Amino acid sequence: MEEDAECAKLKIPARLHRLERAEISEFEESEELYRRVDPERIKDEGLAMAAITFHGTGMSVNRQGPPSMRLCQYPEDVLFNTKDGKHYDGWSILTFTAEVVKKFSWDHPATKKQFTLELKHAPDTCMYPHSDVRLISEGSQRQSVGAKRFSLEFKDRVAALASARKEGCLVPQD
Amino acid sequence: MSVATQQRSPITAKAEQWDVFDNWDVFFTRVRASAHGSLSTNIGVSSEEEIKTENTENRLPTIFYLSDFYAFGYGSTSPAKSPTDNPELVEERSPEHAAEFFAPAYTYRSYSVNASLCCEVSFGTSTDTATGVVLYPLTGTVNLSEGFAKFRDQIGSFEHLPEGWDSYDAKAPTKEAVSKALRLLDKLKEEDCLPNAVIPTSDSSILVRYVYGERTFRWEFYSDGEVAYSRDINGAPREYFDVTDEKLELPLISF
Repeated sequence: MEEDAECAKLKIPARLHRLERAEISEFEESEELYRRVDPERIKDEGLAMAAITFHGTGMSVNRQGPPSMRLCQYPEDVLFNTKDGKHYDGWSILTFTAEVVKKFSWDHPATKKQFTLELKHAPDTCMYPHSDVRLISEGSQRQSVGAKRFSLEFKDRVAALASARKEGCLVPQD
Repeated sequence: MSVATQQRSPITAKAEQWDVFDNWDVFFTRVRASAHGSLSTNIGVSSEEEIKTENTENRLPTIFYLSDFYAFGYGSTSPAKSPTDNPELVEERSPEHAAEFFAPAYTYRSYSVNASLCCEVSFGTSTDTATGVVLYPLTGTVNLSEGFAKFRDQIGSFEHLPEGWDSYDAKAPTKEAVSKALRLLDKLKEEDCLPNAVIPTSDSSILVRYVYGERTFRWEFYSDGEVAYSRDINGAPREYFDVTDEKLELPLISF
């Protein structure tokens, strides 16, 4: 298999290197999205919102890829960090489906503006499945929903879309 | 059967409330620790076997927030519903991690909240709905001072987190966020209510979670100095609030 020499130095598996592959703009509804979280920090579902952020280009995830071309052969591929090559063994994986993300909408209680989530395939050189979940309102990308109590509520709603892939890492909060 | 005697410091806490969730056949209580850092509660357990059975039935978790407690069980299958109703001593238990001993299915839970020395001690066993099962204080030892000192150090350290500390792009919470989170911690200390989670978030804020009374609170201290919290009460929709600097000075009970 062809590989990127720099990515290989980071010990990122060759199947994840972007090489000459193009972006795939469409996300099929059944496709899964993965985000790694530290189980020492995010100890239960009640804390999952602490892993949610829309700053910068959006919330980083790995996409599974369409059924015809799986980009993430394993959900655990998201445990590779392409910045330093570190592999986050033992971390949990928040898993979303493209369907729930694409269908999600939230009406701001005060402004009544609607917020939605948008998926953008944003391949990294060493992580072709890398994608962003973007916060959208009135046709533009946003960094937050405004007042912090709404931000807290919004992040709870988004976190509720996810399930924890690694059994036992995120337990229900009582 | 023998009486538990393993106490590491004076026990002065008392049970604050005794609730019964009849539908689940589970009793629930919270116990507040004294200012001296000791905690005492009883859990009514009639046998380890019963607890294992309970845990395989997908009912409510029977124990949580129990790690670091030395636990001794006093159980009863009498219909008594308060610790003053002459519990029948059933068995001594002194595991290193009480939750592991009492509720094997929830071992992970106990480890996952191993800083949860506060306020929240629970409970439960399989039960006979005709007679009920009573929960009684379990003897434990908690050093609240150490707990608060640990959280104070943790919060202070968040300011120095390297960029990308969450393995993505998170920045460290600002000095202002740290300062406000420490103000809340001071309030919690006044009430002997140790948080069960103090963590940085990927939004570069600080999240503090604790249980006060019947409510679970999660406060988020943002790097721009703004503060918000959520409040949960069993069965009710979660509520969200912004907190001004003035409001942050109010007593804990105000929230």
